[in-house]
Amino acid sequence: MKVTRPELSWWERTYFPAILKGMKLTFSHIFRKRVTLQYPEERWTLPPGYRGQPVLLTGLDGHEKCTSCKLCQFICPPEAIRIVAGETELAKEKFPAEFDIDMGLCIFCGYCQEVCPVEAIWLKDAYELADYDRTNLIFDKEKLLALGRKPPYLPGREKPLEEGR
Amino acid sequence: MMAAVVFFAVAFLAFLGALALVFHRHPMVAGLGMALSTLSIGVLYVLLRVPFLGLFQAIIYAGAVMVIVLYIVMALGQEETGPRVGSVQTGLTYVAAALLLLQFYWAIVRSGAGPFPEGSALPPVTAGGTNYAFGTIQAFGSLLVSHYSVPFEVASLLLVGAMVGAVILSRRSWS
Amino acid sequence: MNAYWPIVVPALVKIVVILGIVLTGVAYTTLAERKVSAWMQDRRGPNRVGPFGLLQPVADGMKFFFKEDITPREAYRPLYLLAPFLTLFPALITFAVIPFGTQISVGGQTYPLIIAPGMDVGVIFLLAVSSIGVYGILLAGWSSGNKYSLMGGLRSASQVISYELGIALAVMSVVLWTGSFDFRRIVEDQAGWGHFWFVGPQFLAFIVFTVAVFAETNRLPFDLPEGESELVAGYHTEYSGLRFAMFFMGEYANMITASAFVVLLFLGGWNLPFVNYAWFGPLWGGLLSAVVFFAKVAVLLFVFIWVRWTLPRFRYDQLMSLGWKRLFPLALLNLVLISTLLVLRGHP
Repeated sequence: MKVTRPELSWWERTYFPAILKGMKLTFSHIFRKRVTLQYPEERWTLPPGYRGQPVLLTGLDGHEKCTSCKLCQFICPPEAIRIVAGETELAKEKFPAEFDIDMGLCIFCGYCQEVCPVEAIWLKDAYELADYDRTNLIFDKEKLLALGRKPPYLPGREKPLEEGR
Repeated sequence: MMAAVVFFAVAFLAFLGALALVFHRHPMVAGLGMALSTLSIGVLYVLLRVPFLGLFQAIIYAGAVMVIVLYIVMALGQEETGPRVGSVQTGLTYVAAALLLLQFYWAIVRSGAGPFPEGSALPPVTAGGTNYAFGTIQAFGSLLVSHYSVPFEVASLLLVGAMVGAVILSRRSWS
Repeated sequence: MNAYWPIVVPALVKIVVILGIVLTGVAYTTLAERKVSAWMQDRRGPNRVGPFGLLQPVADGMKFFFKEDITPREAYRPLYLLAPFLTLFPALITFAVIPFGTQISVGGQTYPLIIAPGMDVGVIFLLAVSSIGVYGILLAGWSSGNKYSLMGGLRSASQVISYELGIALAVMSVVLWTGSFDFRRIVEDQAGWGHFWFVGPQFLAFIVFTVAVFAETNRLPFDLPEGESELVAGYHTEYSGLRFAMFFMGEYANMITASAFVVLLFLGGWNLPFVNYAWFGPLWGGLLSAVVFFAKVAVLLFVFIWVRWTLPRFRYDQLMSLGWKRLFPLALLNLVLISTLLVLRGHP
């Protein structure tokens, strides 16, 4: 590609006009409105479809919807999900005896939600997940289910998807 | 009293620097030793009541010459040199150094210079018919452009020659 | 020893006061840097520690204390440990010869507002000490045992040496004009009727000096030695904790020195037009002059920061060609012009 450079006058080649122009611009910005979001006090409004903390959902019958098919475990790119299957008297016959998500590994890709045949796992809008201890970041089934029952939920989706929708 | 304490402290540092320059295996430390030595000598000039000469010593030798030497050592990446072997050459160097030192001592003794009493006024410097207080920049400058103008100009000529030579030598090709 | 006390005590008091002012100044310049850069980018800057973030430097300092002091395995230890001191101390020593006001008279005694009042070659002292300051950078770069540090050190050293020529020549034209190496004389020559701040009569020298000073302090647009995109952080890449803090403080102390230098040589020192400090009495006049001086220094520090957050970085060959092919000849030309003018004017 051929670049045509503008012919600069002697005064322009001393750099001074450009420097002064730039300094005028930066100085004018001092008086502009600040764009900083004062985080803990002010917060973003999250867009619908925001992918935050993955949670397990409970069906209308009061049991977790998960059937322990392990599709989410297989698709999970960072292998953050660990499921131990168990048998149950319910109609679904299989249930997760243990279901852990290592939030230290989770990349919030949402594939688990995408792939789940029974819509049992779902990414809600919680994003403040930091902890001082990595072992605290491994969320077990009880915790994930509890999180699935608790707001906040996304605007426009005040409740998690119910069974049979 | 104070002057003597400062003198011996600084002279010790100058000596230490010189020793490091000669004996330290690491070119970087040796170079630093020389910088320390030149800097200390600058302080000695200040003790001799010529402060600006001491400062110029600091600017030129410690600030420019030694920095460039260290710069080159750095750029070349020269690591520690190998063990020193006692060759005939090193022996001769020691002898020559000792002889030079003797001559230097002899020159000082012969000049009849002794320690000047502390607090005494130094004689003014006369240049171009005007008297200037000793050790001032006026005295120095006047002497330089009157009495010593020929050596001064010759030195500058020499430096210009060296500079032109360096440019010619470092030029890769005459295209 | 009794004869020493009237000299030693005021000197010690002045040293303590000046070090206090300078170190506080350094701390708040770092805050100003962060605040001003934030404002220029439509941000708010640090505002959590203390009101308006005014205690942020304290928090930063505490953090440096608690950080681990790391020495890389490849480092040449003695020099690695020495280098930060060699950067910070010259930066602080320069304030010995910088006058920061006229004088204060208390109890029949007059104290000139400078740590070393007897020094009549302060200008050379400042140049000498700043040229010694290169050692810290050079040694830090070399002894870290890291190629980025080495490159940063080399660049910095060559840059400082190159621009020192411009600085020295620009200073010389001012010195020729006043006929003195004494800062106080230079400032006095800029006071009163018929005298101008030297930014007027010495405009070329002012331009050369200011540009060269930016390079000398390794500030943008000449911060090649620590060009992040190429050299990580340059010569202090490997340093951490208090040793890093020393480099940091040295850099900002150098900025304050440079600003003071510009103010003294070209911006009239503590003088204000149409103001005579004798009007305010021996004590308040002196204090006022010091306040004016530090205010001018603060304005220049703001300019330093302002330029940093405006301009992009020069390329290395541009830096060198600017230094050697533009500033150096310009400074020489200026020196010749000034000398000719002085001869025509019949200067002694």
